[in-house]
Amino acid sequence: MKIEIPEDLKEILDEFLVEADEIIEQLDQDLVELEENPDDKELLNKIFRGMHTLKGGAGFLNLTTIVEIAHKIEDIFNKLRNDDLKLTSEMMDIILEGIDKLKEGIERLKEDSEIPDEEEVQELIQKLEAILEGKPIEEISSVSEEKRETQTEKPENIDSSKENEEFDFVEGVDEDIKQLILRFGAKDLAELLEDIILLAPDERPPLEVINKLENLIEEGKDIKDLIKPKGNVEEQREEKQEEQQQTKEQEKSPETPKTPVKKDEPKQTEKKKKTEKKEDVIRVDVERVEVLMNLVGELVLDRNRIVKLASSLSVEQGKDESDLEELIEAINGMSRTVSDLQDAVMKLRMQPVKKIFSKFPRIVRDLAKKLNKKVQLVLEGEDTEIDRSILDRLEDPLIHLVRNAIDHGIEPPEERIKAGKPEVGTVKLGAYQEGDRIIIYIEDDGKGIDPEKVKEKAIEKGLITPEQASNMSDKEAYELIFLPGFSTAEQVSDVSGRGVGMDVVASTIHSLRGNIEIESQLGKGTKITMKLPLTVAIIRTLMVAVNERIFAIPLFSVVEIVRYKPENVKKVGHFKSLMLRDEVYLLFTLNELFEIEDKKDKEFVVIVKVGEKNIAIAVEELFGEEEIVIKPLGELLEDVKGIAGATITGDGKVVLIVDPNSLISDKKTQLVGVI
Amino acid sequence: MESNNTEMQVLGIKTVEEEIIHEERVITFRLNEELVGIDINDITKITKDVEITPVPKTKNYILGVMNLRGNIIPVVSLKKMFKLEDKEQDYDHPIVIVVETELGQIGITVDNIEGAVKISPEDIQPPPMNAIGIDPEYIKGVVMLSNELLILLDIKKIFRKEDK
Repeated sequence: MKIEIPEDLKEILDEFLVEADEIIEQLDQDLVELEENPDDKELLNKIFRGMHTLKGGAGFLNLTTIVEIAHKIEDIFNKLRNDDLKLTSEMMDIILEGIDKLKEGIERLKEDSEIPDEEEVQELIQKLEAILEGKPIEEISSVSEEKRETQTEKPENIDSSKENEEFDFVEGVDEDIKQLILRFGAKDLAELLEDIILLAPDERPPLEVINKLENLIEEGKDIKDLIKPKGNVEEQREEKQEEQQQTKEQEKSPETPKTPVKKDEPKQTEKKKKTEKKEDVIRVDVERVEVLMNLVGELVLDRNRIVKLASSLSVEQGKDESDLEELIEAINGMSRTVSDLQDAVMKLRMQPVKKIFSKFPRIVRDLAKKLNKKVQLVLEGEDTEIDRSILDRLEDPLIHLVRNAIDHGIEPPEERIKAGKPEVGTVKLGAYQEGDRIIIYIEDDGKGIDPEKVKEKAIEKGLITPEQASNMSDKEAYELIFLPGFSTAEQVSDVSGRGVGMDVVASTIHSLRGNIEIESQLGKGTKITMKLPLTVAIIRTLMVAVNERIFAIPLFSVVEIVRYKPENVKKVGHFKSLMLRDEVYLLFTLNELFEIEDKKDKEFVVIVKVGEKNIAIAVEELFGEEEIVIKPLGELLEDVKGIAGATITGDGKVVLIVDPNSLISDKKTQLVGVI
Repeated sequence: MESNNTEMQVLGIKTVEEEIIHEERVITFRLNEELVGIDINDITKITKDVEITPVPKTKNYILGVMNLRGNIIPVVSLKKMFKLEDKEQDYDHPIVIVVETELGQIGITVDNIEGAVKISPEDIQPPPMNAIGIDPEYIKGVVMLSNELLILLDIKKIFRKEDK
């Protein structure tokens, strides 16, 4: 059903959506954890609170079906934490179904401003209700009909519960204030005030009432000073905590028995800390950060230009020494500040990998269940931070890799026991920082990859020749998995056989200017490691040129630079190779790779790392290192091979940035096993 | 528009108003001998003497990229794209019209800017078959000016997502 949100509530809706996303994301992880420790009271409470907040927010915006589902799940968790119910795996499936429906609802609200219809959620609600009533799960499907009638009345019940709510006021509380609290619920006074101000003018209480409320706040009065506390000790505290932290709380769940509670001083201080902390955080539109980032990028370029100018000035003769020194000192100072500024802005864009890692417990659980495998997921380094735009694009590849690990890696329990391994397989998903790169890895203790099988498959698919296969190292064999048109699964299962393939995973990682490697031991397991840049926007590059055209090669793929010596170059079959110390490298000229006219002698060789291999690229000129800001080439040129983007130099010229991975990938299949 | 409005009120004649609202301004230029026009609303900038950096391994009609106020945008030769004879174009000092498309801003090189003309939509006629050598799909229509035929290009159709 369509939802009409009045203009003045739009902001609240936005906030609700963000909050709901956060809650649901966290829920997935918590629920899976809960299944392992069904008696973890703290976890139960946490989930209960999340649902409660969600319900409150949805209620405020009148999102009926979302309220219904959240309300039921909240009730279930209330029973669970009070030991009135015992969690079973079947119950968990239904609860997860409920969470999925909530997710879908929130998504639809976001996209099309509609929420699921009553009929759509009816069956789910009945299932949830059956859990609440303690009916065995098998019966749930049969309860449908009789429930239907009571079902339709539910929304009114929720509404009326609010009105039935009563508070015991402390003596001397102003009548108007009492009315307010009755109307809006017992919440932090400051929040109450905020809510009132947000109301439409004709619904807003008279100004004098608002003034009274403001006075109370100024006096430092809290809601606790106005109402005699009631409710079960635990419940009450939590509810209050809750209301302090979360805004837009509308209703109090009336279903729990209420008993008086004493004031609790330590809680009070803790609460204050929390509110303080909350005020320290602001939400900023990504676009604004993006603009800031661009400006800083320009500033970095200008700085580089000034630094260059200053150093060329200093070699000129006849200048006043002291002036020059002062200028250089000033420039150095500015240069440091710009670097710091760059770091600071970069940090704004950083987000912990937790943001996507938190989705995996649920994915692993569902998948393991579906495939009848036993898998435990271990998350490591969740707080490692990485540029948001990289993080966003990592999600699909990671899901694919984790799916692969469970589907193709981890064996069924019987097989594992036979192999003398623990029955439960382990999948590790982790991240850590290493210099200016972020390492993300997925490791399983499954059956590993058989390089011979991979080679067979590749020959069968016509990706390599048998001769190439016999010359190939195991590591090179694993790399074949990343070739387009390769898939090792004997039959494509509906688990890993859909969506992106390994070639897409690899190309996504490459497009982020990262690389991906496979290590595997037959019978022991597989580890896939991705190395990614910390940030996307600014990189260090090596400036080279052929035929007077300048290109920038990202420095992280440059292994070393040597002078070009014709006597070290040999022709091997179709290719040239370069002898350097004891190593042999495949050699290309940048001219041939880019199909540029070749008429000058080559002066330098840049050795670049492409996947597992180091490859030599000969160039004519070398200009040294430069820090640059990457800009896209525009949609028309999105798919150009070998070019990662472009940058604008200090004098306004456009320089193209080389993407060694995609540049070489055209030749890759021919290269396999050559060296 | 402001002055037109007041004039309109003074005259108080309805037909004048309609004409003003429906009038289109078109920038005209040459592709070889043909007079070609683009709706001024599709144009962000007209620029001369820009440096075009060639991009390797692209389609032949893509001349490269240029720097437009700190942004990098692709530059396309319309003549090459339409497979027209290409003799006069001076790629060292090109005239580039920057147009706004579904694929972002794109620069197109033209031979010579002729100027701006005002046309009214009722004068636009369907393109004659194969008369000009440009795929009729990319043509909005033609307009008979005092002594010449003006071909109106449909920029939005020339640069579309699926044609990438």
